[in-house]
Amino acid sequence: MATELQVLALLVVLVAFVVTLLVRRRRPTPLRPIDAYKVAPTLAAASIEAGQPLHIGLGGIGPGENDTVLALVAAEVAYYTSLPATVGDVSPIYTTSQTEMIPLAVDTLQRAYNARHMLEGYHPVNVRWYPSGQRALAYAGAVSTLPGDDRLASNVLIGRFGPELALMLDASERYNVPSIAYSTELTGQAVAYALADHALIGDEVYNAGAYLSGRANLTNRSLTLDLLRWVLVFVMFVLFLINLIQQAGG
Amino acid sequence: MRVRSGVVLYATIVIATGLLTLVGLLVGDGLGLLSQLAEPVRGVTALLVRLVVLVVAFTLLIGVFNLFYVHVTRLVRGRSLSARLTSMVLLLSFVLALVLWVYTPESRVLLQETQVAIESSLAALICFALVFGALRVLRRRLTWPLLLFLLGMLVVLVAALPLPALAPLSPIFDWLVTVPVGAGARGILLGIALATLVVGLRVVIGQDRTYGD
Repeated sequence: MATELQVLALLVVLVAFVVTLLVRRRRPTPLRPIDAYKVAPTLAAASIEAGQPLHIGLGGIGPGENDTVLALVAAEVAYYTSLPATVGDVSPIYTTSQTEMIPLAVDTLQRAYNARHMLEGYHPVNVRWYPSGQRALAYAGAVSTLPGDDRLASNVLIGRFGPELALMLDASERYNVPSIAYSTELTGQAVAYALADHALIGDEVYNAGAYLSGRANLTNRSLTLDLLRWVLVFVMFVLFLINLIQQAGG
Repeated sequence: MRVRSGVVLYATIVIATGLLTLVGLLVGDGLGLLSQLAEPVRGVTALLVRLVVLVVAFTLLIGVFNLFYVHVTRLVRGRSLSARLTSMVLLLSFVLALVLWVYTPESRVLLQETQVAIESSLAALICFALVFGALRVLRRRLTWPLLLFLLGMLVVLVAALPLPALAPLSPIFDWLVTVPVGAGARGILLGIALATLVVGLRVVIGQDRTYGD
C-alpha cells in the first residue's frame, strides 16, 4: 500500500473512531421517518394474522467477503423484523445464496426465537440456501417461486442484487405480497426504487437497528453517521475552495 | 447490572480479532516506528485471514447439507403441491448431478446445457419485468422524486436511440449522465462507504454487538 494512502486510511479510521467515541447518548434521539421502517413492524403482524410466512432474502452477501458489514446489518434487519413473528404459528423464512451466510442466518433466526422464549417453534429448515449460479439468476428464479409455493405474507430483500431483483419483485407484485428491497448495487437500487413497495436507498439500511429496535446505542450509530457525513461535506468544500484559490493564483 | 459471561467472551474475541486484523491490514511498510510495532501483528493477521478462507470453504459442506435437508423436509411437508414439486425437481437434479459427476466427471450436460440455458431465458424475462415496473411507477401516486426518476429514465432511453436527428443533443445527454447522474451515484456510494466504515468500527470496538446479546 502506498504510504500516502496508508496515512489517509489511518486518518479516516481515526476520525471515525473519535466521532464514534464522542457520540454516547443514553436516550434514543428522534430519527427522520423512512417508509420502509414504518411498514417493517407491521409485516410480522400481517404474517401472524394470515398464518403465512414472512420471507427475508439475504442474497449475494455473506461474512468473510467484501459485504461482511452489510451481512451483519442485514442479519440485524432480519432479527428485528422477524422477532414479533416468532410468536406466530408460521416461522419466517430466510434465504441466502452464499454458503457463509447460512450459519449467520441460522443464528439470527434462533436468537429471535430465543429472545421471545419460543425456541420450541424454531426449525433450521426455515433457513434455505439457493445457490446463486453464474449470473445470480438461479437465486432470483428460486425466490420468485416462493410467493406462490410458500404463500408468503411479505417479502424483505436485502443484499447484492442487480437487475435480477426485478424478477423477485415482479413475483411479489403478482401475488400481492408487500415488499421492501435494498441492494448495494446501484442498478439494484434503481430497480428496488421502481418496483418495490418500499425501497431503502444508499446507507438507509445501515440505520435499520435504530429504527426497528429504538435502542440508544443503535441510534448513536445513526448520529455518528450523520456527524461524519457533515465532516465529509465540510472537507470536500474546503478542498474545493483550496482548489479554486490555487487555480486563481496560478 | 448483570453481565452474561457469554457476551463478554464474544465481545473479547471480536474486539481482539477485529483490532489485530485492522492494524495488520492498515499499517504497512514505510510508516517508521508504527510499521515496526505492527510487524508481529501482520503475521497474526495473515493467519486470521487464512482461517477465514478455510471456514468459508467449510461452509460449502453446510450448504450442501442444508439444501438436501430443507428440500427433503419440504417434499414431505410442503405448504403447497407446487412447493413439493419444486423441491422434488431440485432433489432429482441434485442426485442426477452427483451420479453424472461420479460416472462422467467431464460431462457438463446439467450445468452448461441445462442451467445456463434456463438462466439465459430468465435474463430475457428481466426486460419485461422492468417494463412492467416502469408502468407500475406510472400507476402509483406521482411525487416529485418519482417524476424525476421517470424523466431520467426517459432521457437515457431517448439518448440510446440511434437516430441521426438526435446527434446534436448527444453532448447534453452525455453531460446529464456524467455530471448529475455521476454525482448522485458517487454520493450514494460515499454514503454506503461511510456507513460501512462506521458500522465496522463500532462492531470492532464493541459498541454494537450484532453477533448476539
